[in-house]
Amino acid sequence: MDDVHFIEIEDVHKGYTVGGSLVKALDGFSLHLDEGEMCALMGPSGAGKTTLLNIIGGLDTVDSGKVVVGGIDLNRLGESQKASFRKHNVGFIFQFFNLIPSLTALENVLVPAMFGRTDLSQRAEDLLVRVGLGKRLDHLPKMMSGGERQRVAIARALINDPKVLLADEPTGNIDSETAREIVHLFQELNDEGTTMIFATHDRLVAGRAKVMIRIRDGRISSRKKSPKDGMIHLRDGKK
Amino acid sequence: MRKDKAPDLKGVRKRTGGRSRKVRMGPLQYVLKDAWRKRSRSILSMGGVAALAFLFVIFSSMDEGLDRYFEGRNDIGEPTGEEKTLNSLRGVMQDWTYLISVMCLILMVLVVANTAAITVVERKVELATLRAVGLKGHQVYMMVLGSMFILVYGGVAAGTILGAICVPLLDQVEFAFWGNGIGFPMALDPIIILYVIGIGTISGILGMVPPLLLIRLSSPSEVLRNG
Repeated sequence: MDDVHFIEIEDVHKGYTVGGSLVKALDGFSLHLDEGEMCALMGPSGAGKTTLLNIIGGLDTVDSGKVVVGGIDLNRLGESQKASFRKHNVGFIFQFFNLIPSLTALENVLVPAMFGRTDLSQRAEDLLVRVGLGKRLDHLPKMMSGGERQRVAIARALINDPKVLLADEPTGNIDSETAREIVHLFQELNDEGTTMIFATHDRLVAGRAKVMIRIRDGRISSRKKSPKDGMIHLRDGKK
Repeated sequence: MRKDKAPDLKGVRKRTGGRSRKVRMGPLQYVLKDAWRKRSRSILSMGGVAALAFLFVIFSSMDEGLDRYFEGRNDIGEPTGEEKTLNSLRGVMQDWTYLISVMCLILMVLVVANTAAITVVERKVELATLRAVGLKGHQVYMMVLGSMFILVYGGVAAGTILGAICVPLLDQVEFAFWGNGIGFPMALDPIIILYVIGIGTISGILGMVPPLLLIRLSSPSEVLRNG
């Protein structure tokens, strides 16, 4: 019997029409990851990193292939079910933070729980303290540095206690010192059991992950795993 | 299997002094804060809607005033000069009232559609982010609709209140352009207020169709990828 993995991506194809011609973002891509892994995706712009993150997060659909996250087959979900899936299972972190300018740090963290019945304000506050922003709860994004904004975005991603964190170039818009702190925070979260996948151009940042995957032209071109880690199951895209 | 627990928050409450801060962050708070963030535009659009609502209230009150003036007068003796003049205006006023109603509706639709379209285009990344963090499509629509209805009903309320203040002040005022020194009768009926709210609601709904289609047609993943 096949092993069951937390993330199972099998022979995924995804293309976009750009200027009338089809661009293959993922071309027979396959990847298996277990729960609690920390995986870095590397590759040039347009290689398919963001597309892969969006597909794992249920934000984008595949043209063909299988995508299962936490036992849920994303191809079978409708838009509303995918939104629920994202809310309860996925935390997104973006390069440009994507915070809402009119809301304070605390309110931004509470946005994913906006329509929920449970009051998560205490948890939001705790998360902000956890990411080192205990004194910035009432600050608007414009009053914060890039690193602080990214911390707010991380707290926002954690508010619903997701099983997987997906970060697209999380350190792409902050200085190297802050980037190191952010990656350290990712490592802490990963140590606590959160599965992490992040796309990055930064070799040093990627080097902190247990698994490093290089994507080129929509396929895995190389892979590397930490010597300590023996739990990774990766398979190259092309069958 | 995954260690099924929240990120470690040990010691966190100690660092915040154990205080608990109740922050309500619901859709209404979001919509109100958004309206405040874009207050210049909100006030401008609301002002446009208010002006149209005011115009509608004034014209409808003139029509209503004429109707009330002639109630019970029609079959009593020879009409006076004032009655003749006002009677000749009666049909014209009805036509004008209909015209103004349709014009208000069309212009309000344009104001709402224009404001909503600008808002949606400007906030496309924000709206895509809301979808990415787990909000459902209809929840995002509701919030955009909420923003627009604040604008519409705020404008309608302002225009109607201003109209209600002006109607008694203008009642029986001798407008120079009517001639003959005749005071023009005006009366504000509650049904006029209902009409103006109805026009506001219809224009809000019609004006939101193009922006909502815009949201529906845009893919969050594409917006987040391309900005």
